[in-house]
Amino acid sequence: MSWEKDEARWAQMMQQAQQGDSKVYQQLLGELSTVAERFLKAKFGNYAFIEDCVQECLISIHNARHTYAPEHPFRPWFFAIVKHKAIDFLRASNRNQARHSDVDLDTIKDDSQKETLEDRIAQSQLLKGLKTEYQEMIVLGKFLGYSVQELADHLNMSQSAVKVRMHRAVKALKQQFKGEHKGEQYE
Amino acid sequence: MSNSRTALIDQLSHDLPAVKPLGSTGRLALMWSTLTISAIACLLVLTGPVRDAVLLEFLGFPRYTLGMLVGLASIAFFSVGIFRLLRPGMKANSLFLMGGLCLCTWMGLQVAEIWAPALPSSLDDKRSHCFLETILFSLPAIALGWFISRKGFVLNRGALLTILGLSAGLITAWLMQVVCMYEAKHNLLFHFGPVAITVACVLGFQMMVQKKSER
Repeated sequence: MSWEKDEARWAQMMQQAQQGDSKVYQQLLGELSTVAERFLKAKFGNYAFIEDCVQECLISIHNARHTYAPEHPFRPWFFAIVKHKAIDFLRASNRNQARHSDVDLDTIKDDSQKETLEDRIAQSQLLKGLKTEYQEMIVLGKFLGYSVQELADHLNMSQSAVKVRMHRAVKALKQQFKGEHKGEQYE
Repeated sequence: MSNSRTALIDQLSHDLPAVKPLGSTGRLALMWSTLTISAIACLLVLTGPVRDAVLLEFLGFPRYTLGMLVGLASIAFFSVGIFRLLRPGMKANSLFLMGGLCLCTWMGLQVAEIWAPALPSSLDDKRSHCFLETILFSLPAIALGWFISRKGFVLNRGALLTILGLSAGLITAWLMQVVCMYEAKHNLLFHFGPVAITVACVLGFQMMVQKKSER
């Protein structure tokens, strides 16, 4: 019931926002940012980059607000933007990004500390469907922000092999993400 | 909620201007395809000969008519699909699948015509530069589609450009089947070949832009 109520309310609020109602729009963005934050935390786990990602989503929603049509459901429109921005954000993050890690790579090498990485993988609904090597790559490279060089040293691989594996991992993550909510698109 | 997020929301909602909703994507598709077909048809008439008996061929040769109708259906599916990409979350894959199936059928009919022509083969009204024309006349159609697409919010620009290139190329190739000489091998090489080149160029351009932005 609340699901349907929210749907109708957000659609109504977005229509008002399209007509230039600042107050309603402010409230709508506030609510949507909370929903996006919860969604991304459920999918990826609790990381510092989620906040940046949510803000990127808000900017995209702002730029796309004229494309929302009241005759169509609100959620598919909203989540399409959130999912796309999240993958875009992960793909664009590179070695220059701020390190968010509270995990030292050297401690991960140690088997007794392996749980730390596994815990992080378990936190994320999305990663569970991926191969172990991709899970590790995404968590270390994208969520925790380690550089290609650091990953190459840690995994005893060449830098180009790390880049290829990272590319494939992000692609697999994107497929997983898109496949999850296929039924949510509208005609 | 973090302070920076609150500040961002305040900034985004401050002095919010009213926006004009995007409107029907079907109407945009119709506008683009009508403008494109009319403009390319005019260019073709102005720049070279047109097959004299084309209307009689439509009426008297059912396999030719079937091929052209399937081709038109393929263009329609792709065109409607392209403009659905302007609205996030809107389904377009089924349209692209249908468009792809129609295109394969159209190509299949063309290949079959190498052995069993649908129309008597003729060199009449051969256009000397149909290969180049197919590529050149597709470009304004791609540019127009790209310009219209800026009205929306495209999440997958790569897919949009590729299918726009394919669709624009197919429209030109379809019209070439009406105005230029009719012979199966000629059609495949000089009318459909350039479509593949146009799509490859669009893909190459995209990759170049993507690499530049990644640097």
